[in-house]
Amino acid sequence: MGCEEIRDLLALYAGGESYENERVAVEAHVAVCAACARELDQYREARANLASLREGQAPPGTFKNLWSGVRADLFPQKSAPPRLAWFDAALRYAAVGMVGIAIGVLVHVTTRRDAAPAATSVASQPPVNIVSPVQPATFPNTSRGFLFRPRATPAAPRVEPDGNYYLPRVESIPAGREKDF
Amino acid sequence: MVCTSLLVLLLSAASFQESAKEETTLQKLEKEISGIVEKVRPSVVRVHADDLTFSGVIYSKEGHVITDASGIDRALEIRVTVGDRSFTADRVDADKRTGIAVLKISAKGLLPASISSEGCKTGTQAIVVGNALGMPSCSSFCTIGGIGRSILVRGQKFENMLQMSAAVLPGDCGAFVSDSAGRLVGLVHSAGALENGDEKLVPAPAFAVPAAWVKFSADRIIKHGKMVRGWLGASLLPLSDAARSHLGLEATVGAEVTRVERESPAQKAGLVKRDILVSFDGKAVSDLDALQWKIATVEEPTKIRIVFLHNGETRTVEAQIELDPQK
Repeated sequence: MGCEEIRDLLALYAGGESYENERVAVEAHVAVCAACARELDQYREARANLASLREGQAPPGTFKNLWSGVRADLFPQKSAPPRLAWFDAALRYAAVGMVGIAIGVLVHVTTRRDAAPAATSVASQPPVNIVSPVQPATFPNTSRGFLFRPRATPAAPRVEPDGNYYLPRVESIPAGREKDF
Repeated sequence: MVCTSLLVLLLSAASFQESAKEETTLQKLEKEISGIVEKVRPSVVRVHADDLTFSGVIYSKEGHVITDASGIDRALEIRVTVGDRSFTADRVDADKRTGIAVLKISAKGLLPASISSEGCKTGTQAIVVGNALGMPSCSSFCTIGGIGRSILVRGQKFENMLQMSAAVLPGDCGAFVSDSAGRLVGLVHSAGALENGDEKLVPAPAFAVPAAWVKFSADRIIKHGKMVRGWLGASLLPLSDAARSHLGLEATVGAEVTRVERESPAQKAGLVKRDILVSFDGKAVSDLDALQWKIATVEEPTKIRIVFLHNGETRTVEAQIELDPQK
């Protein structure tokens, strides 16, 4: 390691924050490099001065936070080679657009209903007015979301009393042979 | 020789014509069903209760019409259409236990239904004639799939129902259920609408009040001008063989009290839940249908001796069967 790389490690070494391999490299270097040894001494002196400050003068944990932030400052993550900004933005918009189109197609396929047969007129019969011919299916379970709603299937009219044509609906058929007297 | 051949030819032709005339079983069945529908049709009416339309059956020449009680429950105006004639109807009364209501119209030339005095059996073939979806005199052929069924409709229990496989539709409530002789064996009451997990409707049975109870309710309402029937105010369940054996009762004897209504004759007689009713009016309690009929047919408050087991102790009390408050 050269002096430039070692100097980056000196502050960590002085603060006791260096890894084992870094510590070995620094000690080997300062043993033969007077300049780096002097710089290390300066770091140690600064740390000693800082340590002499009373805790009450700084918020608790200041030193710990201070030193833990040193590495991040010394070795910022190397960013990827910059791309053209307009290219990145265009790529993002295109991706969002494609996802939107896919959702639209999925919604259309899963929620479309078959066309109702055309009404035919029967001259001799009065029009059949079914108030609630097919009740839309309800989905109390919210996990069955809109996207996955099954296609509506033609069903018999529900026998609800709130239509024009009355037929009470049986709620249940109780088990057992109990009788009321 | 020629004469013999001609004779054989003529005989063959005659037998061929005869076989051609002979109807198939299906054709006969079709004719019979059509005949029944034609016979029943004049007795089936349309009932309009405010904005609801359903069915009814002419019960008497005097203008009594039977229909479903719940359909006219809160109706402000009731009309009955007989053929192409429409009449304003008065509500005489209803039996909340059977769900039968009696209306009265001022009409002449009515053709009342013939009421069957025979009980239906499972497997009886029946024809429902009503006003499905408002279409007059719709009919469907069905099988009585069960008798004595209990159903729950809007929180109320109805017992002794006929279970039918008919395609009963809205508007058929109060429709005529006919046997193969064109007699009324039931009055359509309600229908199931079973759902599976995907919320799709699946075929479900329809239910009808059996003729015996229709006649009972209608006759009582017409006779008294209101529903009059006896009331004990308790629910009973037949005992199991093991329970009978444990209690030392004879086979088929005994019924467990499963519920006692407040302020009811049963409560006043001291019956409580889990008592075992052993004897009613001097007869062993074994057939609950017969007991139910016996209590229902009481027309005025009547004292009846009952015997029951309470914590293994035999008690004999005089219970007063009262008139059903029709709550």
